[in-house]
Amino acid sequence: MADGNDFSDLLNDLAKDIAAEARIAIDDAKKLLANVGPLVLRWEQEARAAEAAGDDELAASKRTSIRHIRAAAVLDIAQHSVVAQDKLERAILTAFDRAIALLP
Amino acid sequence: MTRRRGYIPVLFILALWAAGCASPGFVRGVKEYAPLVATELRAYATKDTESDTATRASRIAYADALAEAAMQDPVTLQAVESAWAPAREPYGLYLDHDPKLDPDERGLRVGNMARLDRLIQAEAGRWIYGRR
Repeated sequence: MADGNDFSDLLNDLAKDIAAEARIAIDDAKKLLANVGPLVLRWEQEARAAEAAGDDELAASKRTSIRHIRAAAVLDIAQHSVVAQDKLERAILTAFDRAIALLP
Repeated sequence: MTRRRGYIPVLFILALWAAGCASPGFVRGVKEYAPLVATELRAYATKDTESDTATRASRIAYADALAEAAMQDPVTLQAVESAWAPAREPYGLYLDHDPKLDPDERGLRVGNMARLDRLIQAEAGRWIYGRR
């Protein structure tokens, strides 16, 4: 039969899993950030040049590209956070089921 | 036994919380990305002179549905999946055809499509209490 130590082990494993997921998210962010600076600078310069030339459509497209970089970061973080939440839910709900099973 | 029983109300509340809506990460990702795709797809469909009227109208409808799925409260996996599936291919066509995009811009957008796919997959794989 399960006891309090089982919950403790479960939560320790969970903490390790979530820390590992956070490390992957940080590595992804580092990779993305390594390329962001030059791209944002280039696209912002192109957007300003397009505006000066009266091409608002091209300027908007370049600024949308900058927003896509931000979206890439958010989507990466989101994916890792969903995986981490999934692990959290699994551990908590498994503990819940075990606790119910302990009832006399 | 009393100590063990003490876990139960806390775990029950957490279980109810976990069984609820889409995860915050999923909602955040969709709200950031889907409007960009919807705007670009709508603009492409509106200006496209090669496709027939019905094709353009359906692409505008896909763009609108995607934007709406991201604005819903609450945002749901089902709505996002249903809106993204038909919008994906025409959005890919837009990326192939827009001369304003340089290879880096195109590559970034293609990468983001794959990112949304992975996010949807992760959300769909969530282990929801009561749906095991």
